[in-house]
Amino acid sequence: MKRTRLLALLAVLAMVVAACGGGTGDGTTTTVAGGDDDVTTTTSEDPTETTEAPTGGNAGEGGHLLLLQWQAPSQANTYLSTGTKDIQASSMVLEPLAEYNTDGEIVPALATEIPTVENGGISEDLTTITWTFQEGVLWSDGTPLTADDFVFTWEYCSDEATGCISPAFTEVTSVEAVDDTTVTITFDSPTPWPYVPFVGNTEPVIQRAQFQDCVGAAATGCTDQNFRPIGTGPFVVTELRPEDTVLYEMNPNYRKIEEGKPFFGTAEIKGGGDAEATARSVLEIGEADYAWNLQVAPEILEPMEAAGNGTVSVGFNTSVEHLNLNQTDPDADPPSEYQGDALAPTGGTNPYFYQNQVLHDALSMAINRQEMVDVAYGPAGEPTCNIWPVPGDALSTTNDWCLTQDIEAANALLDENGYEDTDGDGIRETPDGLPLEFEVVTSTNAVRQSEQDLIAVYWEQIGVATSMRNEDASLFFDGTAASDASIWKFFTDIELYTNSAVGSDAQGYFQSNLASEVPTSANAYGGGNVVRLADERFESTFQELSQASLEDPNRNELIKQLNDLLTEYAVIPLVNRGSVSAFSNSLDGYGSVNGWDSEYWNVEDWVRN
Amino acid sequence: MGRYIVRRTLFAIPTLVAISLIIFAILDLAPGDPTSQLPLTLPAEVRERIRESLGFNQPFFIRWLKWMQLMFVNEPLNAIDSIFGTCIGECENRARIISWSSRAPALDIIWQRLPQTLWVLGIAFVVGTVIAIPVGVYSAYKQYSMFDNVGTFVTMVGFSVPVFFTGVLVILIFSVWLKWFPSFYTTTHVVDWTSWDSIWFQIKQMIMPISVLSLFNAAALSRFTRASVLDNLNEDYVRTARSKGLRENKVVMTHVMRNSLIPVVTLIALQVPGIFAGAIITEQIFRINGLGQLLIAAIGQSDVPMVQTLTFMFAFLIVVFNLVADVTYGVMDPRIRYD
Amino acid sequence: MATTQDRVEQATGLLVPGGGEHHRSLRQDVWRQFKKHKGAVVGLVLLGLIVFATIFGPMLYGIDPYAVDTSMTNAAPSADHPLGTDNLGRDVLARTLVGGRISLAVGFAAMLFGLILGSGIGIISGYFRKLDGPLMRITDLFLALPILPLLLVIIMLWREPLKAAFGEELGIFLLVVFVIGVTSWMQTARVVRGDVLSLKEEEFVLAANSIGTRRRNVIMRHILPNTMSPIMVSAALGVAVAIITESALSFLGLGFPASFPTWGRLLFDGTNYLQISPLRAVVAGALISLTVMSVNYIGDGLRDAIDPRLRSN
Repeated sequence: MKRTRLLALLAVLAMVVAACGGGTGDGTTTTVAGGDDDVTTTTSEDPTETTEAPTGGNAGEGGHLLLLQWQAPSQANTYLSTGTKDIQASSMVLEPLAEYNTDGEIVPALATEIPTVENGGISEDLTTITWTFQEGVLWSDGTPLTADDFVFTWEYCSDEATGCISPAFTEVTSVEAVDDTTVTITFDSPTPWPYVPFVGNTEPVIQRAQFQDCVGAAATGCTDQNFRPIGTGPFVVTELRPEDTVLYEMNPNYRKIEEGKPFFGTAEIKGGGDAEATARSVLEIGEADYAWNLQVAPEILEPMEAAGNGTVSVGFNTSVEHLNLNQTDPDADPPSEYQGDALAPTGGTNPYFYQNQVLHDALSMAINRQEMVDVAYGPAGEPTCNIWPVPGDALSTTNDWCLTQDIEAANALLDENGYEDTDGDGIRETPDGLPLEFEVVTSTNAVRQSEQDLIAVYWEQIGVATSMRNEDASLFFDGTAASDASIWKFFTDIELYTNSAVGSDAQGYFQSNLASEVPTSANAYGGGNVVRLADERFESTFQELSQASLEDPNRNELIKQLNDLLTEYAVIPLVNRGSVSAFSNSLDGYGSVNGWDSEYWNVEDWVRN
Repeated sequence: MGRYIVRRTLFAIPTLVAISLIIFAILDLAPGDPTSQLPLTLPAEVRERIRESLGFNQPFFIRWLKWMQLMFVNEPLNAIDSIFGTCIGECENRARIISWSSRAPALDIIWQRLPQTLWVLGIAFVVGTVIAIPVGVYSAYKQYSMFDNVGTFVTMVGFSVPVFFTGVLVILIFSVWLKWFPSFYTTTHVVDWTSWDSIWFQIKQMIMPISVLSLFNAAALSRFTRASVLDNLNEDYVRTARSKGLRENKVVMTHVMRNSLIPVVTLIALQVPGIFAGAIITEQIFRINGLGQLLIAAIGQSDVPMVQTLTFMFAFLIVVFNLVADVTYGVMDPRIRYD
Repeated sequence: MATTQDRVEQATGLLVPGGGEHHRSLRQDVWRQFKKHKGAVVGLVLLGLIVFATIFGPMLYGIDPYAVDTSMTNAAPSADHPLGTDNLGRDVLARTLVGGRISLAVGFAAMLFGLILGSGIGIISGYFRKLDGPLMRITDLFLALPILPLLLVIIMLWREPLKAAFGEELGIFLLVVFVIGVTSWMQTARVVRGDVLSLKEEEFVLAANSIGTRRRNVIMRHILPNTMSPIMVSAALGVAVAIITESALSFLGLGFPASFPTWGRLLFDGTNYLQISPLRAVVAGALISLTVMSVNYIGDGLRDAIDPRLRSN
């Protein structure tokens, strides 16, 4: 009968296509063997099975490492990344000269030591830095790593058409190979902090032989190279499925194989799902070894951890969730722009916030930061009053009064300074009669919305009315001139989001708050001074800092001053946010989560206990 | 019949062109910055360079025409080359539609993903159909009986409870509490048909999404089958057949089924593209990295070429299966002649 | 197919003798048959209860669904909070009741929009030959558009302008209703067109035309009432589809913003708390399911009731 034949045909067709496609679509292998034949790519169903730690020379016998990143990597070339997820994926394979450890200190990776002015690595005039790296290092294809590869990496990134995301080379005039294992980088002006090119896993070295035909516009077409870069790191990519999975096996030419590193013979980054699901996989179910970037509410994360399969680890760096008080007037025409010289504006300043320490302090005092952390962040956050929160000699303590919520004092401060509620509607007005009604905008995100809800409640108690809005993250962080909702345009009163520095470079961080960096319609809103700070004291303090050498003890004082100036009336820091990840209890050797660099920075040291 | 097929096929082409323009226009007007997920520390010039290198800044019409050329000329040529091992024209350097996130050809990624979607959703669809038809027929035959009422209730539940609700509950019970099945789907698992372990692993990771989905599919289809059979059971020809003395079995299985299944089969054909649309939610829940998950990820990253290509592919499938449905209808029902 | 007698009965409004001693109108007939379908009756009652609860519930219940209370987060059900509180201390029952208003409003509004659009196009297409071709091609075009992907993209695209123009709540409401309506009218249009095509040839329409009835009146008074049966069934299904689509959009994070407690949003937010405070998600999910089930049963009952072959005299 025609009907039955048709039905049968449809069914068979479906099954045939499904079965044929059950393997890979592009012909590359999927099963991997890292030295042993019985290692498969399936999930490790019993992560607590014990294996003996290898003793020298037994690298790669530890089995399979399963890493979960709910944002799946799209490709593995660091320099073409679209987000941290890609940088993590490539950091398993590619290496830089030096990287950041969990305390934010720069430690050597491929380099033999960190160059300084004292050891002659940095020239006296601060325009060059010379790195020497280890001898005998091989790429994973067996060829030797030479200084020429570093020169090539610079050429690759300097070609505008490549679309390289690294900002490291914008001030570099040349990278030269002095000899086979020595590289000299020359900057276009004295640079006291030269630890940007090739420092950190966002700046690795790539192989000239592999990428030589991929410079410029050709970069996009080099799928094979972008998916399977040749590196000096502990692993090599065997297969990369974009937005899905990356499979690795041990690099047979890795320089630490004699030490038994890496422990694992194969590894896998599996993407997909959301943060809660990956946390659950590791902590509750025990299906995987590691879960990345757990933006999960604390009351959900804590019971998961209590299940006993894993540990949650937090790594802090410079990510501070903060409120920007717009120094310019978003209602002016054109909005959010100074008129006249930024340092001596003749118009367009914000009637509420421009250099207004009283209002700033009252708003800051009214916020209960500890409660915000408890509700929204749990172990992943710490209350902070500083935009530069790094523990150490550069940490300012003058603002710590903000750590205690004090509604009374806030009210008193406003009362004393003429902020009365003249019309009895519960909302104070400025001495000029403007009601304290503000719009606070942030990205769409459950944590941010709960922060907004809390802030609204706190400020209501001091007579300030708020209207809370949220924008989709892709619009809020849209750097093109297309989105009016972007943080750079700042067409509103107050913004809430997180900023962070590049590594531990405080100077570079504060440089983005100079008056010359104000985003305006003239520069297509391409500046970093989003809050539009225009303060002479800030400018002169920064000048001092940029001229002080790295060994100058006064640098720490200057950093503290810059921090205090920025948070005096323009910025209200709220929470120091850490990176939260979960590790299976069967894993050892990872130390703690590295908030400063790729979290796989020491993956060669990870072992199963 | 032949003329009808040719006419409909020819008409499908301008439909596809119109659809591609609509999709392209909608996506083009969408605000979104492919560099929005990069660190904020990135200077504006670097961002601009990245956007330039992606071709983000060219005018609308140029991009549409380029995309049309890639989609309708280059990609089919590329497919022919890779299937038949030929080399037509400039096969080495042929331009292809490139995804902005992974800088790889979009169709390669899609092709790689297709099996994941088909394995789970395809099988769920087939299973659902196989359950639905007998249930629907029997429910109609014994209308208002116990079977019918219970069946109706179960299908109502299956049809009304959203898949994302049942899916979440099912994961909670079977993955988290009982730990029977894995909570995510391993796409790289290659089934070794000689190894029971390998097959069992694949079954274990597929069983939850398939059960949830096939319940939903079966529910919808069985209601429709029931309605269609009911329509036919009351026709005069059934009464005639019975009064002629034909066995009940023959009346139902030969005559009633034959007529009832015509609309059902066309509905099945129309639902096939729905597999891929339904994938979007199911894949999110069960963490199956198939076409639906790819679409969501691409939208989130403002990866416009990937979204355009995927959406156009869905539209293409719908047009093709509409044609298949119409032709099937014509073939199965002798009363309908299009010439 | 309805008999000519039934049609004349409707058209002229007269009762036809010989059907029994009682006077019976079509409406009473349909209602009688509807009542026989137990599931449909239960569905109607249930839907009525849900609608009543969501409209009057928040007023009677009194607790503010938006009140944040961080001292009472994720609390278990108690006398003060019969369904417990969420992670910001907001009362779950209050949010569920208010959420119902929005979900049901979206459901009915979207259905109505799609229905009017679909019936309109179906009737015009069926009645006016010249417009049939183009309108059906447009219908085909819409049918060929992949709905969910385009829905996702349109929502991301138009959210901001609408929010700016109409305010957050109304803006998103209009967007979701429009988007669901504009992607679900096609089936109704096709079915109605089919019905109209066959109705046009009926004798009573020829009769009406021959006595000079204006075309508009022919459509409104004769054709439209006779297409009510597929339209009403479409309506029932439309509500179900609209509610599920709105929940699906919320589940993908693209529906109403976080502060708006629609059932879909509550389900989405509550999914991660299933092990801590299960009631949040379970109650919302159950309500979505019950509402959709009731509507489906009602649709089923209507279909059975309106089909004259099933109505006994």
